[in-house]
Amino acid sequence: MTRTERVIEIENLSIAAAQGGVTLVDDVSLHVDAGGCLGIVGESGSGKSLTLRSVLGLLPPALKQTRGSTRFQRRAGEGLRSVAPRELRGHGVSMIFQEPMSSLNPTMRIGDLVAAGPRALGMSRRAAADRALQLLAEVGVPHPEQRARAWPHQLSGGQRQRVMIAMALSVEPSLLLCDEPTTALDTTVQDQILTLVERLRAERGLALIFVSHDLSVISRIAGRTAVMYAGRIVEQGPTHDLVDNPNHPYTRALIDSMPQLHGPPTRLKTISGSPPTAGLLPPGCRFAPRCPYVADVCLEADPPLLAIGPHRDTACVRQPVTNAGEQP
Amino acid sequence: MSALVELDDIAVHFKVRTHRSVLPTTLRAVDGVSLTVERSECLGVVGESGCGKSTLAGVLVGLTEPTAGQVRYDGQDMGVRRSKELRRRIQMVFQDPVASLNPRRRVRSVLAELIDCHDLVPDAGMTSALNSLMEMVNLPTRVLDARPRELSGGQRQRVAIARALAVRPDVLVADEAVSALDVSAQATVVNLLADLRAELGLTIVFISHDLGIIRTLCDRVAVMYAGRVVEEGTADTIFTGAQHPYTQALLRAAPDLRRRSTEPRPPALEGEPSGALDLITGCPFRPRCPEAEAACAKAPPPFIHDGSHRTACIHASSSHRATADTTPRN
Repeated sequence: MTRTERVIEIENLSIAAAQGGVTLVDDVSLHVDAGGCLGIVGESGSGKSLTLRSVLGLLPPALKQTRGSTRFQRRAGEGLRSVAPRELRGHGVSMIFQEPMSSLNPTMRIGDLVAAGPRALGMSRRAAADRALQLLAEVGVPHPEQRARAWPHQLSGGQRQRVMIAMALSVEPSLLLCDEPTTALDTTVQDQILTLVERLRAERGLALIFVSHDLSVISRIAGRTAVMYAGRIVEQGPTHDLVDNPNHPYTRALIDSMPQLHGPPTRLKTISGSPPTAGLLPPGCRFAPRCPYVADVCLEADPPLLAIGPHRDTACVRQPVTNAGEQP
Repeated sequence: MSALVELDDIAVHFKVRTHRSVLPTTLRAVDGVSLTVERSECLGVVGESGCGKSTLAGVLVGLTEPTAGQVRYDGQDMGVRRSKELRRRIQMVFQDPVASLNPRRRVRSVLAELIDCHDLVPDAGMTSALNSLMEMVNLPTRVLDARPRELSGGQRQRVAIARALAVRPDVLVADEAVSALDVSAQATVVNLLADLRAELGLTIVFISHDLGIIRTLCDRVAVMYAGRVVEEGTADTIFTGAQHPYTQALLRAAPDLRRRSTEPRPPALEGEPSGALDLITGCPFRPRCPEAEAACAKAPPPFIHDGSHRTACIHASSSHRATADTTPRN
């Protein structure tokens, strides 16, 4: 095993509304190594998708990045270098989205969609068309020659998602950003796409950032996981360790509220209240109003994300007390 | 002793036009489904998109007219045009409360109209009836004066449940009722349904693609594929001793927080559900089935019964005794 190389490092990312200045993502830092997968999990409105989109500068016009720097390694061994989001699009970083139908141009044939990337990078028409067929075969589209002539609407959801992955791969990225790519898919098709993404990661040494609301999907695909709540990372660490020993009360509550497939059925645990509205954050820790372990100190300041063990960071003042397995 | 709701060989066929031919073709959304639901039972119906589970929900509540077959309530045929009284008894909770609640009306007026329509309480008792409805779904009474957009997703879905409960139904049909919710809101609504069932003796038909929630909530599970039930049994036998290759694949494919595998594995199932337009002779699952053989192409497999468990697969063994989970349900 060669020394793992860092592919991307994002530091102190903050995103706010352009007008009014309401902060939606607050001081998020993350990094991924070559061949690694970082999962970002959180409920709707936690800022996970915004974080991902800002990597490529794809924020909606009403939002702007107020802080943060991105450093990216374009080629292996080259080292990290400061870059602007615009420079990464089509040059080292690709992204796949949740809804493949609205992300594929309905007026272009599949083959042309996949060939567009290589064409833009200067490949000849013929070579790009051949490359498209190779890519379609690589992502498991059956009968690539026939399918290349089809239109997006003629494909099923799973096939469309494969086409989108082929498009993403067509510019030979070293980092693939995945924004809930399996949420709209059926269970067995989701399983196929996860297997495909996993295989591409292993075979191509791709680095992945995989965003999902579903921790069980994340635990299948990501080696490391960051849990986001109300715009901040509240906990991160190796996925299995994090699932087995959640340190932050929110992570623990999230896991407890998930229905289990195996073992006798149990009543689900719920999290009281609902996530705060952006701009109306509670004083102190943002999870305090819903937290079963809340103490006076929690209301004074928002706890920073601190290392509490090897590769484990948690933003909770009670650390490492909850770590000892204490129950409320 | 007959079950509360019986579906007897229900078929729903639609005539659709396709680009392939000028003549309309038949889409077999539901193709010969028989199911029974006992009083106060929770039946889970699980399957992927296009398997006909939502069409089946439409048949149950009377929104969709079956092409063939009979829906019986308490042993009595519900007929094509249901009486108001029969309509009241089976109510539906839809997936998307934003789409199923009128955005211009306050919760109070939505609920009061229903109660009025069925003359369930005298006018003087309306306020207390509405308040107790809110209490039933764990919402503060101030929600009555809110419009749907002022509520969170979980609250809206609880209002949608209150809307269904307002007319005091015996049966609740929940069609993907928690699928659009975040995990924490989802847990609240799932628990609410479990409580309502315990408190009111409500019968629930819970339609979902999410096996984890089915496991949490349901006593019995029917697995649908391509318009047919392919396996049905108690939740315990389905989750611990599934017989049909499709059910087994579905269970393997479901992401599981506790599964630890370092080895990359092949997908649980190749291919995608065939379109309901494609006519497949024999077993509808045959094109994707890892165990398919020549005999599967001959005719749709009949059910092989094993006690209350039935499997539509020629490979299912009738001698099979699933290792039933003996833990009492709560």
